Amino acid sequence: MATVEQVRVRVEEIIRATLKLDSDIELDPDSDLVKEIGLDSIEAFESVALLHEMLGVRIPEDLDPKAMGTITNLAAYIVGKYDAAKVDAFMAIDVAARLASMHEGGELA
Amino acid sequence: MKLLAAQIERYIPHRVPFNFVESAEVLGKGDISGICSWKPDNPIFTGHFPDFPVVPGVLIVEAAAQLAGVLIAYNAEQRGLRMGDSSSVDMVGMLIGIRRASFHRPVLPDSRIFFKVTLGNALGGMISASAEGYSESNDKTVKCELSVAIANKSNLAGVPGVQSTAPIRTS
Repeated sequence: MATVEQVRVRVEEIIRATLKLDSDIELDPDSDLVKEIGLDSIEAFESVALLHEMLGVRIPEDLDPKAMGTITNLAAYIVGKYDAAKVDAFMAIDVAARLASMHEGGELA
Repeated sequence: MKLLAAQIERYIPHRVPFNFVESAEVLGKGDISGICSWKPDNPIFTGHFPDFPVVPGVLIVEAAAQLAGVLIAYNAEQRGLRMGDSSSVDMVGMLIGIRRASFHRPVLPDSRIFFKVTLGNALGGMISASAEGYSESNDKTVKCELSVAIANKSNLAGVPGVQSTAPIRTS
């Protein structure tokens, strides 16, 4: 099963995708996502929702807000909450390809 | 539970010319179907477009969001809460995000879209939803994914996410 450190890299990819950050910009995985990194609550929701979609689960109703505090906390939450098969499937996802397929659309009316 | 226009107005604050839900049916806690339409005398058609009236795509997404709002308010009512219907109710659903939308054919005045809307992830008063809409001849017309926030009308500055608490900071 993937480690927290490995999952952290994947979570960071998703946060970067939500914020549309360039890959050369470094994100501190232990900084508070809202107070320090600057996500507003909509971006935080989108990030957490996207992360759960990629895990193939709904956001649990009892999700501890502390789990969403930092990238490291999110990774630890995933490793602690979900079984090895789900985490390994999450790690195998091509985030860029998945996001591209989510965003492909038709012609604007 | 089937809902007609007057009942829909109980759940969302939208009114003519911006209420596009003609009727709806709550299929379950997370699913609603509904029919949306645009009357030919809707003022939007004077400009979109003067010689070829067609429903703007953004309004088709708005129609899906209105149906999501109906279901969210209906679910709230089942829990003894009221939101959305009038000036006496302070809570309202606000469209906060459109992740994806595709429009597969033009929607003309007086035509109807048959929607199916499914609620998804929910967290902190924000709820995602996906919608598909079909024409009367059952042709795929629209697909979209959106997010709605339950907001307090009297404190819109406090709508989740309107203000960021800090600039984007990197290490």
